[in-house]
Amino acid sequence: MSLPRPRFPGGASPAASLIAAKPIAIAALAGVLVFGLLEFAALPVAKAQTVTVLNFRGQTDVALANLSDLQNGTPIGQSDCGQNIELRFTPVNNAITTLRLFWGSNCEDTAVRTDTTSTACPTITASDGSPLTIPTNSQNQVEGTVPIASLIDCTGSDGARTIFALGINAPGDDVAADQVFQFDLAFDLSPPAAPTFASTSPLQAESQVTVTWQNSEARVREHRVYVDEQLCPGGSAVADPTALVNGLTPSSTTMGTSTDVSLASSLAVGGFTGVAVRTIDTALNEGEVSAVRCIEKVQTVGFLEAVCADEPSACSGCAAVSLRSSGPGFGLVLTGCILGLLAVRRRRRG
Amino acid sequence: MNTTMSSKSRLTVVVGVALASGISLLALGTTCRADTKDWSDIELYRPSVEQFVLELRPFGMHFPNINAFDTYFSGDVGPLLSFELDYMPVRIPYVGMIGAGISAGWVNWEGSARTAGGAQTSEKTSLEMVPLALLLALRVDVLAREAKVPIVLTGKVGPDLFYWGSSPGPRDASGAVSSGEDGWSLGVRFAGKASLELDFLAPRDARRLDDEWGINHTELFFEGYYSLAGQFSRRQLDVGGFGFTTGLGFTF
Repeated sequence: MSLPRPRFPGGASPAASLIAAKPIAIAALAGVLVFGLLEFAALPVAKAQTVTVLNFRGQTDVALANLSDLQNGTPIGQSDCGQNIELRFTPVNNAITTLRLFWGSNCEDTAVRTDTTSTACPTITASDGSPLTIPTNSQNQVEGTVPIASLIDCTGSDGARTIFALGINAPGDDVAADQVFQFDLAFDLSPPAAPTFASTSPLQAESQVTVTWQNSEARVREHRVYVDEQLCPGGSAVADPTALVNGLTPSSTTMGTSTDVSLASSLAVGGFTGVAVRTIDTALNEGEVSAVRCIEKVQTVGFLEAVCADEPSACSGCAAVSLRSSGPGFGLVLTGCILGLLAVRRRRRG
Repeated sequence: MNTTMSSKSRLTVVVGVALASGISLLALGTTCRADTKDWSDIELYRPSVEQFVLELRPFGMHFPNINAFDTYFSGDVGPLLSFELDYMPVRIPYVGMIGAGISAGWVNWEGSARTAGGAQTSEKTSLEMVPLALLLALRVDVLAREAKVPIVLTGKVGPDLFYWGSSPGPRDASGAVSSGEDGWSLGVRFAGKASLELDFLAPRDARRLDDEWGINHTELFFEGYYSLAGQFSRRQLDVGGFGFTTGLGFTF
C-alpha cells in the first residue's frame, strides 16, 4: 500500500523551490560581498595620530617618551618653565582650522570638555588667559610652539599630565575620532637637596685626595664638584657658598658620590682650598650647594718615600710606570693558553 | 567544587601512571638490549697521562720584610691573587712526580700617607706587586696512589722575581713628588704545599672528568712560602718575606 504524495500549490515542493532559487541567491550574496569589498577599499586608511618634539632645550632629537618618564627619562624641570616646546602633529584633516589644547582625561568627549562643574579636562590657556590654540592653516602636518609654563603648573612639584590637542569643528565643538592627539608630560620641579659630607674637619693632602659625600636625591644626572681657594679663606669654610659657586666653573662632574681632587701645585704647604658639591637631577634642576669641605695642603710622606729614607740605594734608577693597567690582559692570555692546552689534550685522547 | 577537584586529582593520577609506565617501559627496553653476560664491550677505566698541575689561587697574603709596610698597610690584606702551572714529566715509583713550573700573581695594598710627624693624612699611598717564580717541584702523591689517603705533599724551590710599583714616588732634590715609581727585586723562593684530593667525594665524576677532559685529579690546597727577593742586593727593595696561598688545583 502506497501513501498518496502530498500536493502543493503550483505543483512544486518547498525544497524544490529553494533549489530553483539557489543560483539567484548566490548571485545576490556575491554582489553584496563585492560591493562591500569595493566600499571597504574606498575607505581612507586611518593613520596613527603622532606627536613629535621638534625642539626642546635647544635640541632637536628629544624623544617624547623621555619627557613622559619621570623615573628613567628626562622630565621637564624648573629651568624649562621659561622655555617653549615645539611640537608637530600629524596627520590633521584639511577641514580642521585649529588645534585646541586641554589637559586631563576624556577630553575628546564634548560633554566632559564643556562641563563647567567638572575639572576633569581644563582648557590650557596662554599667559593672557585666552585658550591656547594652534592654527593648522589647512595643513596636513601642523607645527606649533607652546610655552612650557602653559602645559604644566610651574608652581607645583612632581607629577605628570596628559595633554590633548583636539581638532575642533567650530562652532559645533565636535571632535572627529581621528583628530585627537594626546601625549604625556612628566615634570619634576623640586630642586635636589644639598649633598652632605660625613665630616666637616679639613682633609689633609699634598697632591691628591678623594672627597666623598652623601646624597638624598634618587634621580641624579650628575654631581658638579667645585674646587676653589676662595671657598676656604684662611682655613675657614665660607658659610653660604652658593653665590660664590654660581660664579665658578665645575672642576669635575661625576655620577657617583666621590671624586679625586688634585691640589694645585701653586698652593703653598699650609694653604687651604675648598670643595663644594651640587646635585643636578634628571630634570636638570640645580640642587642646593653643599657646605664647604676644606682641604689643607700638608707635606706628606708616602710609603715609598719612607722606604727610600731607610734604604736610599734601593730606590735609585727607578722609572715611573703604571703597573695596574697590565694585569687583566696578561690574565686573559694565560687563561686562553690553559684552556687551549686542555682542548689539545682532549682532542689527542679522542 | 569537590567534583572539579576530584576530576583534577583523577587526571593527575592518570597522567602520573602513564608517565611512570612510559619511563618503566623505556628502562625495561634499555635493560633488555644489554647482554649482561658479555663484558667485552665495556671498556676498563684507564687514567690519562698525568703530567701537568694547575693551581688557581684566589686568596693569599704576602708579608714583605719592609719595615714601613706595617705602618702604612697594616689594615689591608691585599689579597694576593696568583696561579701556578707545573710540568712534571718524570714519575718516581712509590714517591711521586718531579718537574718545573711557573708562578705569577698580583697584589695591591693601599693606605694613608703620613705627615712628617707620623699622623695619618687623607692622601692615599699604595704598593703593588707582581711576583713571578720559576720553581722546581717534587709532588709526593704516594699516599694517595698507594695507600688511598687523599693527601699530596709538594716541595718547591726556585728563583723568585718581584716587579713592584708604588705611588706616590719619593721626593726629589727639588722637593717635588713623582706620581709613582717601580722596580725589580730578585731572590729565591722556598714553598711547601699540602693538598687534599677531592676524588673520594665523587669517584665516578672524577673518572668522567678524566675521560672527557683529561683532568686526573682535583684538589684543595694550602701553600706556605718564604721569599728572599731583594735580600741579595742592596740596590733592590726587600719585598720578599712570608706568605701563603690557597685555592683549587688540577692535575692533567
